Amino acid sequence: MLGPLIKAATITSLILSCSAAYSQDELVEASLSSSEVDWYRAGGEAFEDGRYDEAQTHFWRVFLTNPNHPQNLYYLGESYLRVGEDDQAFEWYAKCVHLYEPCGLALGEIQLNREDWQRALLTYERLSSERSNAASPNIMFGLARAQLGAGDLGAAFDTAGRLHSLTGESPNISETFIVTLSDFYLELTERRLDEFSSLNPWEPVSPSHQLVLQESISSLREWCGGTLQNPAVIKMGDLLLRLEVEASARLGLGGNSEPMEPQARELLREVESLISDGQLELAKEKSEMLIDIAPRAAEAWGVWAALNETLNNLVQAEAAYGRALSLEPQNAKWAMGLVLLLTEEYGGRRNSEAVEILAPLAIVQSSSIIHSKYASLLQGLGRFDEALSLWTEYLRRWPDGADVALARREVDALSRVMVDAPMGVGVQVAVDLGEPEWSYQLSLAYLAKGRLIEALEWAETTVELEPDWVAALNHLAELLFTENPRRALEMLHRSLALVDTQERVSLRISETYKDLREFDEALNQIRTLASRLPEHNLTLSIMLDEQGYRAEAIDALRLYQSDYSGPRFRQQALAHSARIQPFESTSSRAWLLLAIISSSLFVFGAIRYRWKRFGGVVIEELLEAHPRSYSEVASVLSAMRHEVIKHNTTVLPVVADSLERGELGGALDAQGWLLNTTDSEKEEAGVLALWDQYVRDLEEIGSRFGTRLNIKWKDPVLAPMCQGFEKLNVYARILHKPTKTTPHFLREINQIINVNGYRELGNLLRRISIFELDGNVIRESWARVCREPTFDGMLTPQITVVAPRKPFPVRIIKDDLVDILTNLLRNALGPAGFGAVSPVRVELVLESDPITFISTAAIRILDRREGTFNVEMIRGRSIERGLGLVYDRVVRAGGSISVEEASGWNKAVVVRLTVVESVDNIDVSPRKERV
Amino acid sequence: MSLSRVLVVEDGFEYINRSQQWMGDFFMFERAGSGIEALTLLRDGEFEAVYLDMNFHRSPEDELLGDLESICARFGGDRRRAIDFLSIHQGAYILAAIRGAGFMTPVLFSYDFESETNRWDQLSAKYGPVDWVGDNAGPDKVREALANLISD
Repeated sequence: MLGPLIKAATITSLILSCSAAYSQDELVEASLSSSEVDWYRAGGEAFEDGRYDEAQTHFWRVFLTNPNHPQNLYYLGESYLRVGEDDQAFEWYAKCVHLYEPCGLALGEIQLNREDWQRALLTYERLSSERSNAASPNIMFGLARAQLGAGDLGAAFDTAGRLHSLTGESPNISETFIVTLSDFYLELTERRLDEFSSLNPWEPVSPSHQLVLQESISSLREWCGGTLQNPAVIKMGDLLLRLEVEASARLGLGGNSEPMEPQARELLREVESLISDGQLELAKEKSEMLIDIAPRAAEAWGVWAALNETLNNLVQAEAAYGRALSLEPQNAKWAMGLVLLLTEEYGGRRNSEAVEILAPLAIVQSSSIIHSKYASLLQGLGRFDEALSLWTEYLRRWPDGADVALARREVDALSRVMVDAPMGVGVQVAVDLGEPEWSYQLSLAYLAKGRLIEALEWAETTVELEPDWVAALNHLAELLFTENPRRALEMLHRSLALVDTQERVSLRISETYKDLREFDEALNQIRTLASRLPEHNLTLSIMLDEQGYRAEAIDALRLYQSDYSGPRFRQQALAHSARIQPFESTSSRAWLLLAIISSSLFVFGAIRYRWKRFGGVVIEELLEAHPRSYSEVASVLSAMRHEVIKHNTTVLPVVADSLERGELGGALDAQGWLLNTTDSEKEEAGVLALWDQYVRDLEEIGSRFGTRLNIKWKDPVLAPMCQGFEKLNVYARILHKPTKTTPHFLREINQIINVNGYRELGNLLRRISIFELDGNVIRESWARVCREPTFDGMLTPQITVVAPRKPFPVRIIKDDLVDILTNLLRNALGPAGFGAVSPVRVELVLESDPITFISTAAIRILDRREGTFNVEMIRGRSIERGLGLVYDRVVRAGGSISVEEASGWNKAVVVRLTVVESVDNIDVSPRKERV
Repeated sequence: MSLSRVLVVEDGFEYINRSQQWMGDFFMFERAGSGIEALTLLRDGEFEAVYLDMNFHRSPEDELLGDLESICARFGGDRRRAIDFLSIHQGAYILAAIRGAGFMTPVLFSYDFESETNRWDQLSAKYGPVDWVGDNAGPDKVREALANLISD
């Protein structure tokens, strides 16, 4: 037991002898006479040469004439010590113990060797008290050994701890000394712990035991946290691990959080990203899904807790932190999260609960943050002695810590009020642990430390002690999976036999059989589970599909859909359904038949290709050739914009975004309204079919005007859009199974249809059938009327045309406008008696609707022709020739016609036509700044 | 944090459905199917923006705002064409009514004013704060426009 101590003593003596080697020193010789100096030097030479007997003779001669010379007395003692005469040496040391420190040290060493602990204690205590300034490692080491010998382990521990701190600061301490000290410290710690070794480790510990454990852990951390490496320090590391594991086990801090699958981890990253982007509601939804798929992953609960805390749902946040902490009891993040919530949100009313959470962690973890927070809380609760102890320890262990200034202040403040010595810090201790529970907790604690071998050993022990303990069986199975899956299965089957409602265990058994490629067993397991929990018909369906049993997979999916109405696995079911059900009614023969038909069509189509590709006309050519097709064409083009693009293809970019986020819902919805086709009403057709229908409508219009419209290949506006829709048709069919490039192509299609196509379509609508209306067309029409035979021989009719110089672009075909003007001007004229005609005035006025601000060009034709004339007559087509045509032309142009009063005139027939804003405004430039 | 309330005024359900599907995380949408209903909802609740369709061709005649008789006269007594005109431009009439009732809620028109800049200048000067998105605006652009309107 004291072997190391003796070894230490021997080495220390060597150290001392080296440090006190004889040397000539003028100061030492100053108090000697000349002859004494000669004898002293002769004795020194003989001592250096190892001629100790001769040295004794010379030193004796000095003694006889100078009996109180300290160094002479010391070397007399040394001379006797070197020849093994310890008693003699002791006597000589005793004479100079108060005169020369090396005498005291030497004396102390002899006392230690003699196991005269009390005297050695006195010697070193005296030596220590006589040193008023710098501490001496030799004295402290001797003192510690004397304290140990005297049975005062605590004092020895403290002294050795101070010595360790001292050696860390001193550059002059030899490595040998450090090694010695390390051995000593290790033995000291073990001896302290051995005092309690007779107790069962799982039984509650006494306060003194708690203190020893805590001090041991704390001091071993300091030793092991440095750069020092020697066998003793390595053993200290092992001892520290054992103490920490046992402390964890005793405190129930093992934890059994499960690692996350890759899918869950991906979802966790997504949630964290959403939180950092501020999309909290979406993050909450995703976080709920995460918990659903990883309910035993502490991280899932941790992020749920943080999210709820941000949303100020404190109750839920607290519960979630608690759950995370129960799964990972040593995770400081969950502990601090919960502690901060309790301390900051409840006005201090729950600080005592926070303390209980931190107490065990302060023991088993080396965290300055936990330590500091724990000390602050204790201080706030009035537990000053404990707080002072913790702050003092903080200063010692983390001299550069973030809270070192706070720690210094608190130590200073608390020290001034403290009277009693600080006591040990209270520790939460698990109670009523039996041996099996102790083994189980040890296994969990080792697992938390990453020590799988030890964890497995203790798990095996636990199951041996308690064969019917479900938690232990499950835990052992988890540890066995990697190396021995068959044995793991055995454990799980035993567990399931004891409690057959364990969902997780059933799933784990099935997964293990799958890993062993025993798929029938895996399926049977899931079938059994699904018979009890119908939502697992989805799990069964997925597994059956993976094994190629498509029909059975569909049956199982249907069972999920029919027998289960809850929310579990909803998204997964949707994706799975989209994947397997489209193929439900397709057989390989149908595909073959389709391939044959397609091939035939291709051959036939190739022949026609050239004809289709380059023949026919485009829309603008149709309208030029047949202006009266405008209204119909414009109607279809407008419907293409409003019923196909608006609300439909405009969502393609956001669908692409959602796919990149891994969300399938929007894409599946888009697939639905893109592909839903019928042969009947347009409003029930899918959007893609609707577009095709409108293209066919345009072609039909062309046919009625005797022209073949080549829209899909030749029309510069619609051909690119048709090709865009064909691409969309392809991608719409795989939206349920998107690839990485799907979002890119959706955006490309968006550019074709919704940006370029939309713009060009609008430009086409705007530029077709626009006529620049000014006074000239009125005069030309007037001249034409005047040349008619009706007015032949009459006086030249008088007309006044009032029009702005700048023309108004109006939406009307020129021919229609000429027809309108000709007919109305003709009807404005009339016989004015005696072969004359009444004057006519035409005013061209720009009007703006006061509410809609739509601009119209009003052609006001004023005349003095007598007789009744009203708009019903115009609409009724019942008088004069051509007036019915007027109404049709005006309506076709989207305009209006009315008969109004006009001062000084009989009437004003007013034709209003919609003004198109300048053709120059047709879009190629960015939008203007808006309100 | 509560979501901004946006009143969708349309004669169908396309706007409200798409809005809730793609923008439900950013705004709380409610729908009015006519100008009268819009005014009632504005009076009863705090909305931060109005998302307004222009064309209400599916609305019954008696729900259309505007002076039908004077517009009839403009169209030479053609009631059918007058109703068509009111329907096609109903959004402007609704906006006029909203402002006339004293509601200065920002309004986002769903109508393409790209080629009608003069008209837009006059509309925005009289009925501001307003903005517009064209028919090819996807949910992301609508969302941006609504957010800009609300934040201004």
